[in-house]
Amino acid sequence: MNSTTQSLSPAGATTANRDTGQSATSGLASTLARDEASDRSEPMKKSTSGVVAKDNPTKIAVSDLNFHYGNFQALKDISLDIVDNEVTAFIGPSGCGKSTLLRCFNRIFELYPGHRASGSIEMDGMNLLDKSVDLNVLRSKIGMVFQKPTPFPMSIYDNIAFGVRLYEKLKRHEMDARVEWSLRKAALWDEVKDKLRQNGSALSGGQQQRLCIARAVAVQPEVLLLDEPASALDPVATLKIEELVHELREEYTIVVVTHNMQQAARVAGYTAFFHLGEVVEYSDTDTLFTNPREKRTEDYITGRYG
Amino acid sequence: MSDIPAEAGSPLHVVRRRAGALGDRLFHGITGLSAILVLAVIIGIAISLLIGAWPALMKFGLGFLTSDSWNPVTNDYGALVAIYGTLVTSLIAMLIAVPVSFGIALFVTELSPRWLRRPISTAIELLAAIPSIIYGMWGLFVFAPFMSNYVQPWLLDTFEHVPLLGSLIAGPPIGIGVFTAGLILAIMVIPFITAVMRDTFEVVPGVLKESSYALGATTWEVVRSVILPYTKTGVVGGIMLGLGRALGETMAVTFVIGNSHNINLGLFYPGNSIAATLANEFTEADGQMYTSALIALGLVLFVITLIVLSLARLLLMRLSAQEGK
Amino acid sequence: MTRYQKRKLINRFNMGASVATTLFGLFWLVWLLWTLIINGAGHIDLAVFTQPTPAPGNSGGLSNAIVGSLIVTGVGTLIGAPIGIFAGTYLAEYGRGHKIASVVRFFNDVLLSAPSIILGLFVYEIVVVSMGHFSALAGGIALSLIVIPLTLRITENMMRLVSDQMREAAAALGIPRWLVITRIVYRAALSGIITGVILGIARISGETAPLLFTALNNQFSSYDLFAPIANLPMVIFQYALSPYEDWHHLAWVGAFLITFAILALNILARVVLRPSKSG
Repeated sequence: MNSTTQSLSPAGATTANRDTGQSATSGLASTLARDEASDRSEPMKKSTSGVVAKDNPTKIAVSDLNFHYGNFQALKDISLDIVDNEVTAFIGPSGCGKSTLLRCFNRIFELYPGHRASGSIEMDGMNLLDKSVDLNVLRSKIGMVFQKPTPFPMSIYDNIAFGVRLYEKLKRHEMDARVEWSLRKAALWDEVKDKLRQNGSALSGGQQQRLCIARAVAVQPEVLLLDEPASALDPVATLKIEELVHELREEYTIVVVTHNMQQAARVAGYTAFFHLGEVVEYSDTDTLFTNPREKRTEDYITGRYG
Repeated sequence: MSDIPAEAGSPLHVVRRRAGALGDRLFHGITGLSAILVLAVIIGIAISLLIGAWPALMKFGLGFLTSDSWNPVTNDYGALVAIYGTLVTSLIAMLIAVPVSFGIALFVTELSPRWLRRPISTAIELLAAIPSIIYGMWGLFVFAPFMSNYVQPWLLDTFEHVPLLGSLIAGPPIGIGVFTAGLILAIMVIPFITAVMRDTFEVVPGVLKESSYALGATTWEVVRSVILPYTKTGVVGGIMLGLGRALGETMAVTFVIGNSHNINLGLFYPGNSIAATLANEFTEADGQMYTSALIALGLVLFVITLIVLSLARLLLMRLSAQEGK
Repeated sequence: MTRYQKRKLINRFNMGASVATTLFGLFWLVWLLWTLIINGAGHIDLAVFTQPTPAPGNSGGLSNAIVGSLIVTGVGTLIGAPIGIFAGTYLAEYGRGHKIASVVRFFNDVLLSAPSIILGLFVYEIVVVSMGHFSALAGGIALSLIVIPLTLRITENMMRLVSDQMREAAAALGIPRWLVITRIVYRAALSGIITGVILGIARISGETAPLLFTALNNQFSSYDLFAPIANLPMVIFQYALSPYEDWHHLAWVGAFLITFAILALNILARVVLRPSKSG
């Protein structure tokens, strides 16, 4: 992390709250904390686009990232920092590059020929785009949940155990405990505890999506990427997913792509607005929605876009 | 609930078990090799046929294609009789199978009540599942006598003195011959052509059909002016596919064509086809030139079907590309 | 007659023709099956399954031909199905977007409709000639060349039906590609792939032309993979063209058995496929 991250505030960098869960559980408390933080960092925000100050340290630092689908450039010189143990939302019109950036974090784009990224994405001092990075290990540390629920064609239990088995040798009771733990994390345990052997596709859409979240959480990633996780769900299921994201924030760094601005406002501490492959504005969510600095952001959030 | 059971909170830098880089390379290799094998088989077929046919091709040159002699005693061979028989039986088959397949595909996609579609489609597909040797046996024992007792005498009585048609149906009414072989081939390729036509008819967008019905068009008018123009490449592709089948069909033809190395305009005369000649003579062929001439026949068949099938595939590919737009 | 009446008349005529052609198609199926039943079913007895093929005038059955057919079909399937499935996997997964994949696909379609007697000729040239004699193995290899393109095509199509999001979701968990394919994509496409294999078996169990120059035939009960082997299609071929009445009867029995076995396999294949379509 060097020159490109110059405007990241180092203030409060030590207060990562992974082990002080109780103190920050209440939504109100965290909101207050955020307000304080944004007040404190007010002067910093004017400096450049794409960087935010906050009391948590940076988890992922993106710098000078370019992305091409064949000849089409989908991302242009992206630089932004994802804050640890927070929810960051990417918003913007479709085709703006928000999902593309998300898909760079775990390099899932490499499934397709002709997709390539250049620049750097640093996490824990490593450039994730480096050729030497083991993709499968990377993906076990950065989990992802997709737009449509994608339960594997196997039982609910195996849906979760499958990924875990690849990385850890667990005894039977340990695996049982892990499955229960991750299902509880995804707020699904009570609904499925009596039918763990049933096929995952027998669940409702919202349940399937929470199963996918449980599946991602089970391998104990550090980062969760959510690609429009609620866009295929009804409002009630959407609400459940949002509550879940809010709770998971305490232990994971979460990046969520959404086309729903209310959703971003509800779940995210930080929000980045994308347009035509660039980050137009990136700041804490309240500021972005109440007092946007850029005209394009204001047009978009007030519905004048297009 | 934030306490993680079993190896909880593994530090970030712990290198986890690397799962399957080797497995991936291995699996990629195995599947890739299998795919290459398909290419190798086709190329291998072409090369092995060419090598086997070489002596005959050297001796007879292009004259092999135009000579109608087939004489193991003097070792003089030509492919014309077999090529003629192959083309004529396939032509007869197409003349019957194309309109019939079109009718069936039309019935299944446009006319049939919904509950009847599946059973009829299945029944027609079962016609394709019956092995060709069964068609041959049935043709020899059941269909040929039926032709010779009822159909051929009647055709001869009715049309013998009509010019052109009369000379076409000339020949002994013994049931076995080019005409019967063509008829049986027709029955055998109907399911293939029907399946392709049905599938292409089904890709016609409902809106297109509805909007012409809304103009007051009859079903036939919709078929002729909407469905057919929309699907014509697919329909032609399906016909070529059926033709490819008919050209290479062996056992059924072997039973009923008569195995006679003569060319006759009259369709009731016995004849021969490339595949039937191979089936009948290959295992008994003695002498290098005889075997080589037979393999050369096989090569001719392979080249003909390759051309027909390639055309069919190109047409069908163009259809699916158009569908993809 | 008004113009409208004329249009209606044309329509009615053509629709009538369409119904007639359908009946025409079904008519042959019924006639064929009926012939097989009246000529074949009546001569089925225990001896058919317990005794080997007889000399003319003697009594006998088809036991060696039935077992031989099972062996040759089995060999063909065991060689062909894995190759077809793997090659189909390559086209649906690793080969995507590569030029080689479309070339393979094209040639596979050619192989799928290539005359089966040519396949027999090919295997004769490379296997029989180099071994020096006909064999069950050569027959199996010839049949596998029919199974490969069939299973390849169905495997590829079925694997393509599995959504890319499923693959992404699995890859995003850090599951290596080959496990994603073998444990998840295969499972999702399983019923389709099984259908393909069943259809492949059905297709080759009645094939005669490729066996003419490869497995040939054998009057005796030999089950040696490296020797000529008796099999139903060849026995039917030989017996049907013979002048002996009792051989004709056995040929009909064989035809009956083989046809109804194949129809049963086809119906089974449809039953296997159905749940995945509705679910």
